[in-house]
Amino acid sequence: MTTNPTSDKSAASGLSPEKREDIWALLIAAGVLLVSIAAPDTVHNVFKNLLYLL
Amino acid sequence: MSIIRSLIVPGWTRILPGVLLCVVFAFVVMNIDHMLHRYYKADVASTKIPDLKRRLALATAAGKTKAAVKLSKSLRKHQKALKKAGGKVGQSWNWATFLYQKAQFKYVAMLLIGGILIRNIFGIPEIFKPGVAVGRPLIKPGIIILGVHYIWSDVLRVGGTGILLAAVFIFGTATAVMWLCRRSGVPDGLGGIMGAGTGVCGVSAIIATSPVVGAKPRDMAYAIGTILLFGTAMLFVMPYLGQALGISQSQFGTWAALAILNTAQLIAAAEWYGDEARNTAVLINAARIMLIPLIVVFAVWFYGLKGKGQDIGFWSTMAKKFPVFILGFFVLILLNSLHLDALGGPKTAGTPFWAMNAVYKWFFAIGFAGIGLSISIDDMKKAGGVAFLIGSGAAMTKMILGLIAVLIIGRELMRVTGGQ
Repeated sequence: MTTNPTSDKSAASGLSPEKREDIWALLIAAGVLLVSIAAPDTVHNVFKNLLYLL
Repeated sequence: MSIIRSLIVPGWTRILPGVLLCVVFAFVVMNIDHMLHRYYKADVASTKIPDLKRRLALATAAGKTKAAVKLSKSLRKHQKALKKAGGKVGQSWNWATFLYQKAQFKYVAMLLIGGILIRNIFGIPEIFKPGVAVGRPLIKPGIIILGVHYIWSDVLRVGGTGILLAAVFIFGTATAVMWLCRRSGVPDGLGGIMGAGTGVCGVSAIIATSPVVGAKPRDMAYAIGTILLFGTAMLFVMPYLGQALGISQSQFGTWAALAILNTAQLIAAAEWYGDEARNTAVLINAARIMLIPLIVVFAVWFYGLKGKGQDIGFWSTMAKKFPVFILGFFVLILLNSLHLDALGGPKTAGTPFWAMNAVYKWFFAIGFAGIGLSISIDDMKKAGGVAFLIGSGAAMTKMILGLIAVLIIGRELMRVTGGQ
């Protein structure tokens, strides 16, 4: 989707910036799924109510 | 260990300030959007409550129980909206209705326009710049989570039609641009990435194709400049154009997915238009981005390239360029289609999918903040020359043909039901 500012170093680390972004996206989504399974009401309350201060 | 090490972004400490800036910007704007939405709802309620009370009295007097129950439910909903704003019947919030409903000044517009203004008028200190570019890919977890909105019948109907349309538009545009660039004497490197970029998914396709067609950094700047310039213009024009033409949510989602090249900009435009438009656009985009490896293979074939120290074979290119995050999106669609009680659904209160449904907008907001803050007028000025004219001409043609296609397809075929 976009260039990584450190793309010049990516070859050395084995993963392209796009693949790294994709894997992080999968990990973050999996984390959200797990937390939502553990505490659905809390997750909903945080993102629908608590984060809105105005 | 080496896998974990390779997941760590080199120089990650440099990106933290910019990512935090995106988070803070998104947080502020989401709160403003929430406030505007509350006053807009209160304005509607303030106008509707007297009428609802009158109709409820008439329905009750006439013994129409079913109608009375429905009216009573609607009245309670509006009274609740009015109470949230701390207002009374007769009070007016015209400004909120104008901004939120008529001008469509929602969180997407605020983040994009606000971001562009901040970046280009006030400027962003150097310390934030690397991280701001990383804010944009945070749209990806949002796309995965959005999978809870779909079921497999949607994927087969909308995604199936969408992938057919996308394939025709992608390869048609790519072929036309590459051929015209070659005829006009544009170097193969620039012609190749411009063809891939205007055909599919903009920046991602340019990055994926550039090594195989041997594009120079300056070619990439030209092509990315053209894509961003066109995408930014369409992002602001298309939602208003869609409203003026009276096209439905699903039609707009399809049109945006065919016409806007960059994933983030496409989702921003569709989200701006409405939830249903976004659902259709995300699904077609999921189908579309799976074609990125194929466009790279196509560029290799078109220019008759041979690997110069790199493997550009069909399967290795497919494996290297496939956007793996989209698998997560399809896994969630599969889980939602199974109707598992343990996971529930996006509208079933107290279930995991209902909780996840509250989260995705925040990822989108951070991503949109990243887009707005990344759009630099100076970068766009890099677009130019014959390749720019061909690229933007092809993108404009694709937009017009896309509009004709969705008008022919109609309102129903591309509508995402989510099992409702």
